[in-house]
Amino acid sequence: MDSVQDRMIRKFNPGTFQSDEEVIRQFTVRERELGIVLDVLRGNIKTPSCQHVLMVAPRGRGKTMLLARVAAELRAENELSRKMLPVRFMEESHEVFDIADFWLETLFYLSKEIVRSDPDLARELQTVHADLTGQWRGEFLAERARAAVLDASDKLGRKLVLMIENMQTLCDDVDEDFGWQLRETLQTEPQVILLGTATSRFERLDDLREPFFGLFRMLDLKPLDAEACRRLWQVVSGDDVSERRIRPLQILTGGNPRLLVIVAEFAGHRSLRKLMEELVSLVDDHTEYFRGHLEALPPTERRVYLAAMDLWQPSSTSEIAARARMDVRSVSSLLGRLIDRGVVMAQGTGRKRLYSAAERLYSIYYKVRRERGEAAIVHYLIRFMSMFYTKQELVTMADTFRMEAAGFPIIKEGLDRARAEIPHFGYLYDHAVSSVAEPEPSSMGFSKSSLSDLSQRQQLLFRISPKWIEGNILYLSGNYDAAIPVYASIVEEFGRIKIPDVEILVAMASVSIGHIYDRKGDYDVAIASYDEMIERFGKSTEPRVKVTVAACLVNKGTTQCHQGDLESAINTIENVVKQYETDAMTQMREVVARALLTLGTFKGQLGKRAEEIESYDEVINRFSSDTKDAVQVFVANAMTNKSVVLIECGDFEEALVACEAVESRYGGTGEPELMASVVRAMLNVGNIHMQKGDHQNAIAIFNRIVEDYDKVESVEVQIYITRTLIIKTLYFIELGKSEDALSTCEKLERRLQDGGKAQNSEELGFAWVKVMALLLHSQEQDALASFNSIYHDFDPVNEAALSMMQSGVSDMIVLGVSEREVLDVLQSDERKAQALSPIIVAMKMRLGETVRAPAEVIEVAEDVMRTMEEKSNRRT
Amino acid sequence: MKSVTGPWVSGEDFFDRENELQILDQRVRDGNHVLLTGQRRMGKTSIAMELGRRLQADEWGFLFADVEGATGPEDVIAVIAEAVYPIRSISSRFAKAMHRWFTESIEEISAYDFRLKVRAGLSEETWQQHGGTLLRYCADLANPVLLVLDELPIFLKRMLRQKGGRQKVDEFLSWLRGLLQQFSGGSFVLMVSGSIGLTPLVRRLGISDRINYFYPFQLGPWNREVTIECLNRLAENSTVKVDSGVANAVYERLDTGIPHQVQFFFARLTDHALMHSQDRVAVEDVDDVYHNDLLGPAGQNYLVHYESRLIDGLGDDQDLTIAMEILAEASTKDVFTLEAQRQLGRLYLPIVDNAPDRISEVLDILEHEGYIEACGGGRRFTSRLLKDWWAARFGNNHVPIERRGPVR
Repeated sequence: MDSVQDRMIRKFNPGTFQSDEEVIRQFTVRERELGIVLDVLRGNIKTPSCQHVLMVAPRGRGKTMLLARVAAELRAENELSRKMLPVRFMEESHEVFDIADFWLETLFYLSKEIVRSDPDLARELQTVHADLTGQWRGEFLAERARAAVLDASDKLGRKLVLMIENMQTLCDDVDEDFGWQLRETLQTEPQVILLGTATSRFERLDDLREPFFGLFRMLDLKPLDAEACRRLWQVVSGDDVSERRIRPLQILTGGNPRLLVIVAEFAGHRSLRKLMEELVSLVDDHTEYFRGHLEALPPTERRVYLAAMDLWQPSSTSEIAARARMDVRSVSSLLGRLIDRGVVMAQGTGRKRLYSAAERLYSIYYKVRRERGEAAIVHYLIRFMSMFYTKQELVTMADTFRMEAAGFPIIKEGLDRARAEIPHFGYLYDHAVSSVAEPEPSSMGFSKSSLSDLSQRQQLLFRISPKWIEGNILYLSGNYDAAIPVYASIVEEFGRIKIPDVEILVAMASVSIGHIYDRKGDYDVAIASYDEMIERFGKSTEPRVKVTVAACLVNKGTTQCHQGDLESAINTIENVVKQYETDAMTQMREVVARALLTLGTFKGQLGKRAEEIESYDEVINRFSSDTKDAVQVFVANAMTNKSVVLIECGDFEEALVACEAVESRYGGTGEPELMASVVRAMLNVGNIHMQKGDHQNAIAIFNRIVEDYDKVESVEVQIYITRTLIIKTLYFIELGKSEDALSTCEKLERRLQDGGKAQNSEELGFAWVKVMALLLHSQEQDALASFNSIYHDFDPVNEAALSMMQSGVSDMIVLGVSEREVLDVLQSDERKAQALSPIIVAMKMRLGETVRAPAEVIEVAEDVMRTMEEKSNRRT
Repeated sequence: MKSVTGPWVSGEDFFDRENELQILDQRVRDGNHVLLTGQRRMGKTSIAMELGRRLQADEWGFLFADVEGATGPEDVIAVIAEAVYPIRSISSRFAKAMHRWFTESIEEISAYDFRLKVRAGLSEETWQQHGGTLLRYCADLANPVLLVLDELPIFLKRMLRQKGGRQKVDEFLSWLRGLLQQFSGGSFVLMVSGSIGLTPLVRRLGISDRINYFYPFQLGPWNREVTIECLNRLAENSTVKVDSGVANAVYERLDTGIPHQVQFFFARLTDHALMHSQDRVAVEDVDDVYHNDLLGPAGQNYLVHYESRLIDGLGDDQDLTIAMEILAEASTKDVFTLEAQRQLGRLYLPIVDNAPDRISEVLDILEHEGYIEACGGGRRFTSRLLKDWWAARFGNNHVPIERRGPVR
């Protein structure tokens, strides 16, 4: 992989102080536009009248980069470079006020350009330039400078390609004859070709009375499409991402290469969801950049620009004037200037003309800054996108559950949950408690004097164990804020004691602190806690402490992943494997197995499917023969995870083999965690049959799961049974079997009413399948009533609820619900409606309504519509 | 023939205009000075260049001087001098006449330096004398000479803005007229070309007679067959394959054959194919490009200027109102009929003096400015693009003239 340094792409002033090789290497997108420009230049080689080109695009679209790339081509060894010479002006041509200045500047930059290839002529031109600039009051300055330039071109035997940026400002700042005087040369002198850029199609280009009317071949640099964004992202971040993943970033940056590079550099190897969550941090990191751009505007223009950004949707002059508290006429003329600067875009004409900020992230920056992070509308949109685009292309409600059943970590309740989330918590907890339980329960009430009879170790354990238990109880009851000081007091009070049984509890308390901070989302603090623990205990030779250190490292990796820093996370986990893989201790094998499994999931998040499978195979190969159930749980999960990857890759046969191997290997187990793994694998077998269209086998396996495991008293197993019934209902819905769907749904409802185990996501899932089953059964009003109730309880901040709402609404539409009634429900609560704005906009557009919304929302809505249509087509 | 949008073309890139060339060629050979007018981007410079190229093949001398950048008559003479430079017999002779300014021999300096030195030797007092000498040398050549002064109206308008501008314009045009009258027998022919404006300008200054010796020739758009042929020729030479119905579809959309618009549309079509990784331009792309590029935001500015130009050009509010009526009617009904013209005259009679005459004048201006053209049933838009845009912009509230009562 290229080093980060190699991947750095110049965001500003590309080509300045960069070698041509570097420019060529960094030029990743806009190849087609480059082709068009080079074709035009080739066509100019022999012609007596040259075609001039103007590239038009707002700031950050890659105009300067394209110019730099063309210049590099004109310096390379080829036919063009033998016939033409680039003369690049500085980005802002501050020195040009009239045609004389223009030719003097040309002379200046021409002398710079040839300094290496023709030093004598360069010196001569420099002397002429110095001479002419010294005679600024002299007569015929323009003619003399022009003559010097044209003579030089003749001497060089090459046409001069004048590369001038921001033509619109150049034309603003010069005297009124400038344009015609320049045009005369451009029309009559075949040695001069103008390759210009402008931030907008400024009015004088299209005014029949103006010199540049119809003079240029116009080349609009459109926003990058998803494929180009993907390529640029790959070059900058080193991550090969799908078009689906790049789409939200394309929308947020408006396909602006500069903004995309900024985001890509910031992204590191963060997962999309993390990146989206941390977009606000990106805004923070680049505050200077955004603010600098604002401060460059004159105050009155800034005021109008800020109003346009704050409105965040295409707005009329009067709306912007009202927001800016300025009169309409001034705002109208200031908007014209802002368009010329390329910071505002206009659409429509006359009274229907609407304006919006040209660069998208600026509006987000402004809203986030102005509302001090409380810009709900921005946060809601980002959350919506994060959920919508992290899923597969055509997510149905069934897919949501299938994916959850297949790929998500096991979540249990109570102690089970803690066991799953703190590696080896169960083992360590049990062993630690048993090891401190030397004093009999009856002796817990010993007086102070009798304590003195105990050994120092016993006394310490007697003091530490109530704190440890208290901390755990607080943690398990979800009272994290109260648990932290209890764990911290253990570390503080007993941290210096070198008795192994005490050390292990101190080490575990430290890990617990880090873990709680991770759960609270304070990842930096969590990592600092883990690092402190590793620093303190890293050199311990006490086996249980070593296991805890290793587990702590795995936790650290997980937190790094939560932080979105997948590169560091993978590094950390790989180090755990490397450092502890030869340790034969059972508990350490468990940690290494877990580490390898975790590594696989991280690789999967990076889209590295082959490496992900390698990690799972490593777990299977290394630990298949391990006799410990706790280790076998990881083997079973590795086999099931592998099958999930194979399903995603469309290799159903191999996936089936992997899942059936789990069942045949662990089918008779009595160990609850292993049983859960078996059920999960069986559920995947059912999913595979479903996807293959093998209805009979799919239904048969769903029935078998319920029959065989219904009585197992494991929370985890019971949750999988609930999921199985949800998926079965959804499957019947997919098959159009309304009676079967409704009866399975009723069975599920009775089960939940009888206290069947479910988490919130399953309960919500049930509510949604009920809506679908009722719709399919032509009970639209009942379905809408159920939907109303889902909407009533809908919490926009709950990701699972948002995700199900995204897929649920489109599934309802596919099933033929009255879209108007659904829309009315969705709009009935302002806050919830904000969180669902892309869906609402999509539905309005489907209903033929005219919608005005931020461009970002419109584009997401279009994707939502597309998904609805595709689902609909798939169903028909 | 390559796709070109902007610069003038000649030789293989020059397309058709055979009838126009034949007329101009004949006029020039007959010793007539020509005033070549036409909308911008109609191809005036190209036809002048092509005419010159053909005349040169017949041993004529051809001088092309673009004077749009000139700020005074001195600059015009200097630009002509640059054009004359390659004809050594004249340039050497002229350098001798201005010997004070030429220390080197003519071989030692470039055309640009020649122009520079000539310019340095000219002043308000001497330009007429030196300019006359230069043109006389041209007329003295054994072979006849055609001098094209391109974009002369732009130069005159600029000079008009200067202090004493009216007098300067008069002086220049009178000098030119006087000088040309001295050359007889067709040895020296002048062709002045420029977009609209020269005739109204001299009329406004009350000096129409200064240009009445010119044979006026207005260059119009290509007809349907020529436009389609041009598009087919461009397609043959394009690296992108172009479906056979595309040329027809483009003309259907444009409904006119302004060369620049035709070239612009074609370039947009091929760019569209390249940007969408298509290996060919299909008929359905024509509508896409028409709506998104030509009628879309990028094309809007161009069209908006037709509106603002009208406001600037028709200073009188009543004239402007009448013009808007005519254009709205023509855009929504396709043709502004003679009956609609009569009816409009009747409608405006109560509020506008000599309404029918005013309407006729406005129609002339609109025709002259390239908005409309005469057709079988009356007048229609010269460009479908402009008509569609005008209808979208102003057509909604337009009530057809025949359905209206008198204006109050």
